[in-house]
Amino acid sequence: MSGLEARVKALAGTLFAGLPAHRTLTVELKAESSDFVRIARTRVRQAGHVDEAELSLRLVERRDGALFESSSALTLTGERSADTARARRALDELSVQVSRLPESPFSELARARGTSRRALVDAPARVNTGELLDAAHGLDLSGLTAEGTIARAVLCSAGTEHWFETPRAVVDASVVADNGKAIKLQLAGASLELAAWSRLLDDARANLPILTRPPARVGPGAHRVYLGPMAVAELVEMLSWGGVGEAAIRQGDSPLLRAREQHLRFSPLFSLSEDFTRGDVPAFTDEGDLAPEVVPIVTRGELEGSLVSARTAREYGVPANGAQQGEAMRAPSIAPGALEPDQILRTLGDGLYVPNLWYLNWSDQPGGRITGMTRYATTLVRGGEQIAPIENLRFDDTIFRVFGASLEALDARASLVPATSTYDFRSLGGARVPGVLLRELSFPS
Amino acid sequence: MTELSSQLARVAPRGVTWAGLREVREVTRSAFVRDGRPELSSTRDSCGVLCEVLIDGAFGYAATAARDDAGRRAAMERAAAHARASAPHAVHRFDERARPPARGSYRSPGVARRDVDASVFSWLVALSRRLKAGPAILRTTAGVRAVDVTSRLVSTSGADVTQETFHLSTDLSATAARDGLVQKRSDAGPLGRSHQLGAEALDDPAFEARAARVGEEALALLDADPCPSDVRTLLLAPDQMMLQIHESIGHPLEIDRILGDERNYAGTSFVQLSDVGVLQYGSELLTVTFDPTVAVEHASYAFDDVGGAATRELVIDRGRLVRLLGGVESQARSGAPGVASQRASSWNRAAIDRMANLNVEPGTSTERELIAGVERGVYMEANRSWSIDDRRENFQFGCELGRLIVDGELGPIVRDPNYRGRALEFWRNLSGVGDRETFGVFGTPYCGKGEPNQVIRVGHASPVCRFERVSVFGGAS
Repeated sequence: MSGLEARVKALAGTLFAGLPAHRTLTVELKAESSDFVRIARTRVRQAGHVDEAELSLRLVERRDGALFESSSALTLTGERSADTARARRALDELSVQVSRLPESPFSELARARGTSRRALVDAPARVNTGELLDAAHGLDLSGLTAEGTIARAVLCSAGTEHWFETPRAVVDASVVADNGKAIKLQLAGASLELAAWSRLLDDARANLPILTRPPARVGPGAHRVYLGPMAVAELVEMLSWGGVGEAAIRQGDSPLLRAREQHLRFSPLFSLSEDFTRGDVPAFTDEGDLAPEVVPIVTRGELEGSLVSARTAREYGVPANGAQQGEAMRAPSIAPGALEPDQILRTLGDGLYVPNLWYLNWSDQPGGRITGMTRYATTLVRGGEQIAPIENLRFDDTIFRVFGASLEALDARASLVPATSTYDFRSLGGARVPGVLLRELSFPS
Repeated sequence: MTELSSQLARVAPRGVTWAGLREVREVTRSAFVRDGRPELSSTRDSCGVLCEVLIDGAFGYAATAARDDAGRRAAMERAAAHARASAPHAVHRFDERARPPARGSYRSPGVARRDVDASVFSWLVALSRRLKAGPAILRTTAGVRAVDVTSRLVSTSGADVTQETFHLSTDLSATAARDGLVQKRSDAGPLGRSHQLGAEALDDPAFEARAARVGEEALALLDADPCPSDVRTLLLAPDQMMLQIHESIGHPLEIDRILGDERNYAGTSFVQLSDVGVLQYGSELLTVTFDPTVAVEHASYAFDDVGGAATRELVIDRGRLVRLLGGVESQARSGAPGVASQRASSWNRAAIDRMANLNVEPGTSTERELIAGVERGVYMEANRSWSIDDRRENFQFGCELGRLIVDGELGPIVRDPNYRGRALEFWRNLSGVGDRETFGVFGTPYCGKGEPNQVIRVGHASPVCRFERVSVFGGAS
C-alpha cells in the first residue's frame, strides 16, 4: 500500500484545515491489500485480490452548550483529487446533518490524545499456491490463505495521530478424513512459512488415523472434558459479545451484571485480561485513545473490571480504559496454569478431548448460559488414551461453571489463536489462551 | 454500448476466455436511538468493481475502487495472474457458460424511494417513548437502516445488467429488569423487519402500536413463569419460522456446502446430491419455494451476481426435496438442479452460493384451527438465540416470548422459551401450516458464510406452523 500513509494524512489535513472552532473531526482508516486463495479438496476453488481503503469521518459540533454528532464513511479510489472532493462533500453533508440532529449528550469534542506509529511495511515474498498444495499431497484440504498488508489509522483535528500498518498472512484450513471428521490447522504471521505449514500438515497426518476409526457414541449428560485453545478462544469471543463491556453490563445484556450484583466469583485459577503488549493489534481506539498495555477483567476469579469506551465513560461517569465503541476484546488473554502438554490426556483420564467448538450462542445471556457444538477432532478418551472420534454433541452450560466450579486446570502455556475473520476487512491479532480441563460440561443432546 | 462496457473493452486482458466487470455502489444510512437519545447517525458509501477473468478454465478476480482505465487494467492483470496460477490446480474446469450473457434491469418494485434523513430521529424518539412502557424498562432501542444498492454487470460475452434495490430494516426493542431478572422483547428479532422498501414505509402508523406492544410484553415477561421443560406441540410464529427455514432448510440445501467448499468454515450438509427427487424432507404439508419475485421481500432480484436469470422455483414439493440452492457454477460441478443464487456481499467479494428469498408456502388452516388441535403446547415468537451443528442437523433455538397452549386455548406468557431438535425429524413432524392470513414476510441483513467471509441479505416468508413432539425448555435464570 505504497504511499497510503502520506495520501491519507494529506487528505485529513485538508479536511481539518477548514474546520470552525466549534467543530472537531476524527478520521479513521481501514485498509488492506489482500490476496485470497480459497482451497477445496486440495484444489483451488477461488483466487483473487482485494484492494480496499475506507475512510470514516466523525464530526462533533458544540452548539449552545450542547453536542451533536454524525459520521460518514467512503471508499477511497486512490485518485487524490477525486478522493479529496468526495471527502469534502461528505464533510459538507455531515455539517448539514449535525445541524438537524437531536443532542448527543455522550459525545465529546475531539481532543489531542497523543500520537503513535507502528508500520512494518516490508511485506515478505508470497508463497506459491502450488507449493502450498504440494505440501498437502495425499491430504484432503479445504480452507483459505490470506496474505498482504493491513492498515488502521485514527487522526483528529485536535492533533491525535495514530498509524498501524503490518503485513499479515493467515492460513485457516481443515484436513478432512474420509469419514468427514477433520483437523483444524491455523497459521499466522507476517508471511506464510512453508516449513511451518509442512510441520502442521505432518502433525495432521500423524493424528488422522484416530479420526478414521468408527465413531464412538457418547450419550447426553455431563462429561469431563479438555477444551483446547481454539475451543477456549471461541468461549472468549462470546464474552466479547455482550459480556465484558461496561455498557452491556449496565444495560442488562451481560451475565457479568449478575456476577457484579451477586458477587459471583469464578475459579481462582481463572484470570482474563486485555493484553496489548504483543503489539499485533492497534492499541488505539476509534476516538484515538490509547489503551493501557494490560486491562484486567477477571483476576484469580474476582471480577476486577470491564471494558469501558470513552462514550460509556461519559454516560456512566466511570473511567475509560481504552475500549473501542462496542467494547469487544481486541487482545484477549487468559493466564496459563500448570498442565503440561504431555500430561493433558493422562490428567483427563476418562472424558472428551475437544479441540474446537462451533456455532456458539448465548442460550440465556443474562444467565450466562452458552450453547454450541463440538466439531473437528473431538475424541473419546479412556484411561488417558484417545479411543475414537465421537458423533458431535451439543453443549449448554454457563460461563460461571466453565470458568468457575468446573475448572480443574489450565495448560502451562497459552497459545496464540489467530483471529481469522474476514468479514468486511481482515482481522488482526488473536486470543492468547491456554486449553482448559473441566470436571464436567453439560451436553443435553 | 454503455460506458462500463466500453471500459471493459479497453481494460480486458488479451488472451482470456472471458472477462467481466461487476460494479457496485452501496449507500447505507443508519439512524439509531437508545433510551430516546441518538446512538448512531451514519452514512456509508461503499463503491468499487470486481474485475474477473476466465483463463484455461479457471476464474481469477481482483477488486478495486479505482475508476480509471489504468487502475482497472491493473486489477484485470492481477485477476489474470490469479487465474493462470489457479488453472493447474483448479477444482473444476469452467467455460463461458458459467457467466451467462444476461441482459436486463431490475428495480425494487413499488418503492417510492424517499431517503432516510435527519427527520427520522424525532420519529425514533417518539417510538422510544412508546417502548418505555413502565419504570422497569431498563433500556429501549429504536433504529432504521436504509440501504440503496446499484449494481452493473458487463462482460465480453455480452452481459449487461443493471439492478437497483432499496432495503429498509427497522429495529425496536425494550429490555426490562427487576430483582435480577432481565427480559428483552423486540419487534420480530434484531432487524427482523428487513424488506425492499423505501423510507415512505416508516409512515405506517402500525409502528407505534408495535412499539407499545414490545414495551408491554417486555414488562409482562418479568412476571411470567419460565417455559416448561418437556416434550410437547410447538407452534412457531413467522418471525421465528424465518430462522427455522434459514438454518435447517436453506443452508443444508446449498450445493457448495454439499460439494465441500465450506468444510473449513460454515460446514457441510446432511443432504447428499443423490437426495434430490428422493428425500422426504418434511411432512406432505411442507412446500418450500425459492422466490425472488415477491415484491417487498428482502432478497428479490432479476439476476444473480454472475448473470443467472432468477425465477421462482419449487425446492420442496409436498415434503419431497426436488431442487437444491446453487448457481451456475455449482450446477456445472454437481449436475444437480439449482437456482440463480450465486451472489456476492459486495464489490470486493467473489460470488458464491447463497440463499435469497426462501419461503414456506401457506397451507389451509386458520391460526385458530392450528391452536384448537393442541392439547398441550407452546407458541413461540421472535428469535433470540440460534445454534446448529456444521451438518445443519442438530439445532437449538431460543425465542423471546412463549405462550402456553392448553386444551386448544392460548394460555399465559412464558419466558426464556427454547427448543431443540434434528432437522429431518422436526420437519417430518410438521402437523399444521397456517393459511395466507397467518403469513408473514421477514428478512435479515446477516447471513454469514464463505471464505473470505461474506454477510448477505436474505428473505424468508412463512405462515404459522405447528410441529409435534418437540423438546422445549426454559432458561437458566
